Amino acid sequence: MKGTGALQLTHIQAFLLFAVVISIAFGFLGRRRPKDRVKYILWSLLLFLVVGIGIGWLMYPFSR
Amino acid sequence: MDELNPQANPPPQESLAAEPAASPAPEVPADGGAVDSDAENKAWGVAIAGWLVPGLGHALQKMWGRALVVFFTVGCLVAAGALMRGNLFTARGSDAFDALGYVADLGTGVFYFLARSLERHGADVSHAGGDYGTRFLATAGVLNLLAALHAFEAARGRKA
Repeated sequence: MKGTGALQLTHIQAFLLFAVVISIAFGFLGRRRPKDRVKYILWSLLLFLVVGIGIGWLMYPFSR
Repeated sequence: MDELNPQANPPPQESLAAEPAASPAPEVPADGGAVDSDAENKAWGVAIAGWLVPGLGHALQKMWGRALVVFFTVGCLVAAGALMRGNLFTARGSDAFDALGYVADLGTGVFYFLARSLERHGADVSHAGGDYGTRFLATAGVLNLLAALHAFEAARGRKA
Protein backbone atom coordinates (compact mmCIF):
# COMPACT_ATOMS: atom_id res chain seq x y z
CA MET A 1 0.00 0.00 0.00
CA LYS A 2 1.63 3.22 -1.13
CA GLY A 3 1.02 6.43 0.69
CA THR A 4 2.35 9.94 0.84
CA GLY A 5 2.19 10.46 4.58
CA ALA A 6 5.01 10.26 7.10
CA LEU A 7 3.56 6.96 8.28
CA GLN A 8 3.25 4.39 5.52
CA LEU A 9 1.65 1.12 6.56
CA THR A 10 0.68 -1.90 4.55
CA HIS A 11 -2.94 -3.02 4.57
CA ILE A 12 -2.26 -5.74 7.11
CA GLN A 13 -0.23 -3.41 9.34
CA ALA A 14 -3.03 -0.82 9.39
CA PHE A 15 -5.54 -3.58 10.04
CA LEU A 16 -3.50 -5.00 12.93
CA LEU A 17 -2.86 -1.58 14.46
CA PHE A 18 -6.56 -0.78 14.38
CA ALA A 19 -7.57 -4.16 15.81
CA VAL A 20 -5.02 -4.11 18.64
CA VAL A 21 -5.72 -0.54 19.72
CA ILE A 22 -9.50 -0.91 19.69
CA SER A 23 -9.37 -4.26 21.44
CA ILE A 24 -7.27 -2.83 24.27
CA ALA A 25 -9.66 0.09 24.68
CA PHE A 26 -12.70 -2.20 24.68
CA GLY A 27 -11.08 -4.53 27.19
CA PHE A 28 -10.28 -1.78 29.67
CA LEU A 29 -13.63 -0.03 29.29
CA GLY A 30 -15.73 -3.18 29.29
CA ARG A 31 -14.17 -5.22 32.08
CA ARG A 32 -12.87 -4.40 35.55
CA ARG A 33 -10.71 -7.33 36.68
CA PRO A 34 -7.30 -7.74 34.98
CA LYS A 35 -7.90 -11.37 34.07
CA ASP A 36 -11.25 -10.54 32.50
CA ARG A 37 -9.67 -7.69 30.62
CA VAL A 38 -6.99 -9.89 29.10
CA LYS A 39 -9.57 -12.47 28.05
CA TYR A 40 -11.80 -9.80 26.54
CA ILE A 41 -8.91 -8.16 24.69
CA LEU A 42 -7.78 -11.47 23.20
CA TRP A 43 -11.31 -12.46 22.27
CA SER A 44 -12.04 -9.09 20.69
CA LEU A 45 -8.75 -9.16 18.78
CA LEU A 46 -9.47 -12.65 17.49
CA LEU A 47 -12.92 -11.60 16.30
CA PHE A 48 -11.49 -8.50 14.58
CA LEU A 49 -8.96 -10.64 12.74
CA VAL A 50 -11.37 -13.42 11.79
CA VAL A 51 -14.15 -11.08 10.66
CA GLY A 52 -11.78 -8.69 8.85
CA ILE A 53 -9.94 -11.39 6.95
CA GLY A 54 -13.21 -13.23 6.33
CA ILE A 55 -14.85 -10.19 4.79
CA GLY A 56 -11.71 -9.64 2.73
CA TRP A 57 -11.94 -13.13 1.28
CA LEU A 58 -15.69 -12.76 0.69
CA MET A 59 -15.00 -9.67 -1.42
CA TYR A 60 -12.19 -11.33 -3.33
CA PRO A 61 -14.37 -12.75 -6.17
CA PHE A 62 -15.71 -9.26 -6.89
CA SER A 63 -12.34 -7.55 -6.93
CA ARG A 64 -11.59 -8.28 -10.57
CA MET B 1 -26.51 7.61 63.94
CA ASP B 2 -24.67 6.81 60.76
CA GLU B 3 -27.26 4.19 59.93
CA LEU B 4 -29.87 6.94 59.70
CA ASN B 5 -27.77 9.21 57.51
CA PRO B 6 -28.07 8.24 53.85
CA GLN B 7 -24.96 10.25 52.94
CA ALA B 8 -22.79 8.34 55.39
CA ASN B 9 -23.83 5.00 53.95
CA PRO B 10 -24.38 5.37 50.22
CA PRO B 11 -25.76 2.28 48.52
CA PRO B 12 -23.11 0.11 46.88
CA GLN B 13 -22.68 0.53 43.13
CA GLU B 14 -23.27 -3.16 42.53
CA SER B 15 -26.83 -2.87 43.74
CA LEU B 16 -27.45 -0.02 41.31
CA ALA B 17 -25.83 -1.90 38.45
CA ALA B 18 -27.91 -4.97 39.20
CA GLU B 19 -31.12 -2.99 39.08
CA PRO B 20 -33.41 -4.38 36.37
CA ALA B 21 -33.83 -2.21 33.31
CA ALA B 22 -37.61 -2.30 33.49
CA SER B 23 -37.76 -1.07 37.08
CA PRO B 24 -39.96 1.91 37.95
CA ALA B 25 -38.63 5.44 38.40
CA PRO B 26 -35.71 5.67 40.88
CA GLU B 27 -36.54 6.51 44.45
CA VAL B 28 -36.13 10.09 45.62
CA PRO B 29 -33.44 10.33 48.31
CA ALA B 30 -34.50 11.27 51.83
CA ASP B 31 -32.71 14.64 51.65
CA GLY B 32 -34.50 15.71 48.48
CA GLY B 33 -33.11 16.24 45.04
CA ALA B 34 -30.09 18.36 46.04
CA VAL B 35 -27.67 15.43 46.20
CA ASP B 36 -28.99 14.02 42.93
CA SER B 37 -28.63 17.38 41.25
CA ASP B 38 -25.03 17.75 42.45
CA ALA B 39 -24.18 14.24 41.32
CA GLU B 40 -25.80 14.89 37.97
CA ASN B 41 -23.86 18.11 37.48
CA LYS B 42 -20.64 16.37 38.47
CA ALA B 43 -21.38 13.57 36.00
CA TRP B 44 -21.89 16.08 33.20
CA GLY B 45 -18.66 17.80 34.15
CA VAL B 46 -16.85 14.46 34.04
CA ALA B 47 -18.34 13.70 30.62
CA ILE B 48 -17.33 17.07 29.16
CA ALA B 49 -13.83 16.79 30.66
CA GLY B 50 -13.52 13.30 29.22
CA TRP B 51 -14.53 14.57 25.81
CA LEU B 52 -12.17 17.57 25.84
CA VAL B 53 -9.14 15.64 27.09
CA PRO B 54 -9.31 11.91 26.38
CA GLY B 55 -9.06 9.99 29.65
CA LEU B 56 -9.63 12.98 31.92
CA GLY B 57 -13.17 11.86 32.74
CA HIS B 58 -11.83 8.62 34.18
CA ALA B 59 -8.83 10.31 35.82
CA LEU B 60 -11.17 12.61 37.75
CA GLN B 61 -12.73 9.48 39.22
CA LYS B 62 -9.32 7.96 39.99
CA MET B 63 -9.72 5.25 37.37
CA TRP B 64 -6.10 5.58 36.38
CA GLY B 65 -5.77 2.49 34.21
CA ARG B 66 -8.76 3.37 32.09
CA ALA B 67 -7.67 7.00 31.90
CA LEU B 68 -4.23 6.05 30.57
CA VAL B 69 -5.61 3.54 28.11
CA VAL B 70 -8.18 5.97 26.72
CA PHE B 71 -5.56 8.71 26.44
CA PHE B 72 -3.03 6.55 24.64
CA THR B 73 -5.45 4.64 22.38
CA VAL B 74 -7.20 7.80 21.19
CA GLY B 75 -3.86 9.56 20.87
CA CYS B 76 -2.37 6.64 18.94
CA LEU B 77 -5.27 6.57 16.49
CA VAL B 78 -5.18 10.34 16.00
CA ALA B 79 -1.41 10.38 15.47
CA ALA B 80 -1.54 7.45 13.06
CA GLY B 81 -4.47 8.94 11.15
CA ALA B 82 -2.84 12.33 10.82
CA LEU B 83 0.57 10.93 9.86
CA MET B 84 -1.12 8.81 7.20
CA ARG B 85 -2.62 12.06 5.88
CA GLY B 86 -6.21 11.14 6.60
CA ASN B 87 -8.96 13.63 5.89
CA LEU B 88 -9.62 15.81 8.92
CA PHE B 89 -13.05 17.32 8.34
CA THR B 90 -13.83 20.95 9.06
CA ALA B 91 -17.03 22.86 9.75
CA ARG B 92 -17.07 24.01 6.13
CA GLY B 93 -18.21 20.65 4.80
CA SER B 94 -20.27 20.51 1.63
CA ASP B 95 -22.60 17.62 2.46
CA ALA B 96 -24.03 15.52 5.27
CA PHE B 97 -21.16 13.06 5.19
CA ASP B 98 -18.68 15.88 5.75
CA ALA B 99 -20.79 17.07 8.67
CA LEU B 100 -20.87 13.58 10.18
CA GLY B 101 -17.12 13.26 9.69
CA TYR B 102 -16.63 16.61 11.40
CA VAL B 103 -18.70 15.47 14.39
CA ALA B 104 -16.70 12.25 14.60
CA ASP B 105 -13.38 14.10 14.35
CA LEU B 106 -14.48 16.63 16.97
CA GLY B 107 -15.05 13.70 19.30
CA THR B 108 -11.31 13.57 19.90
CA GLY B 109 -11.49 16.87 21.82
CA VAL B 110 -8.19 18.71 21.97
CA PHE B 111 -6.57 16.00 19.89
CA TYR B 112 -8.45 17.44 16.91
CA PHE B 113 -6.08 20.38 17.00
CA LEU B 114 -3.11 18.06 17.49
CA ALA B 115 -4.12 16.28 14.31
CA ARG B 116 -4.38 19.56 12.46
CA SER B 117 -0.89 20.50 13.56
CA LEU B 118 0.46 17.10 12.48
CA GLU B 119 -1.10 17.38 9.02
CA ARG B 120 1.09 20.17 7.76
CA HIS B 121 0.61 19.26 4.11
CA GLY B 122 -3.09 18.55 4.35
CA ALA B 123 -4.96 15.37 3.60
CA ASP B 124 -4.18 13.02 0.74
CA VAL B 125 -6.82 10.38 0.20
CA SER B 126 -5.66 9.55 -3.33
CA HIS B 127 -3.85 6.60 -1.75
CA ALA B 128 -5.24 3.86 0.47
CA GLY B 129 -3.07 5.11 3.34
CA GLY B 130 -4.87 8.44 3.44
CA ASP B 131 -8.23 6.70 3.31
CA TYR B 132 -7.26 4.50 6.23
CA GLY B 133 -6.06 7.58 8.06
CA THR B 134 -9.50 9.14 7.66
CA ARG B 135 -11.05 6.07 9.30
CA PHE B 136 -8.48 6.14 12.09
CA LEU B 137 -9.31 9.76 12.89
CA ALA B 138 -13.06 9.16 12.89
CA THR B 139 -12.67 6.02 14.99
CA ALA B 140 -10.57 7.92 17.53
CA GLY B 141 -13.36 10.47 17.91
CA VAL B 142 -16.10 7.89 18.31
CA LEU B 143 -13.97 5.88 20.73
CA ASN B 144 -13.39 8.98 22.86
CA LEU B 145 -17.11 9.76 22.87
CA LEU B 146 -17.74 6.19 24.01
CA ALA B 147 -15.17 6.61 26.79
CA ALA B 148 -16.74 9.91 27.85
CA LEU B 149 -20.13 8.20 28.00
CA HIS B 150 -18.59 5.42 30.10
CA ALA B 151 -17.11 7.99 32.49
CA PHE B 152 -20.48 9.75 32.65
CA GLU B 153 -22.26 6.54 33.58
CA ALA B 154 -19.58 5.67 36.14
CA ALA B 155 -19.96 9.10 37.74
CA ARG B 156 -23.68 8.46 38.05
CA GLY B 157 -22.98 5.14 39.74
CA ARG B 158 -24.59 3.13 36.99
CA LYS B 159 -21.53 1.31 35.67
CA ALA B 160 -17.85 1.09 36.43
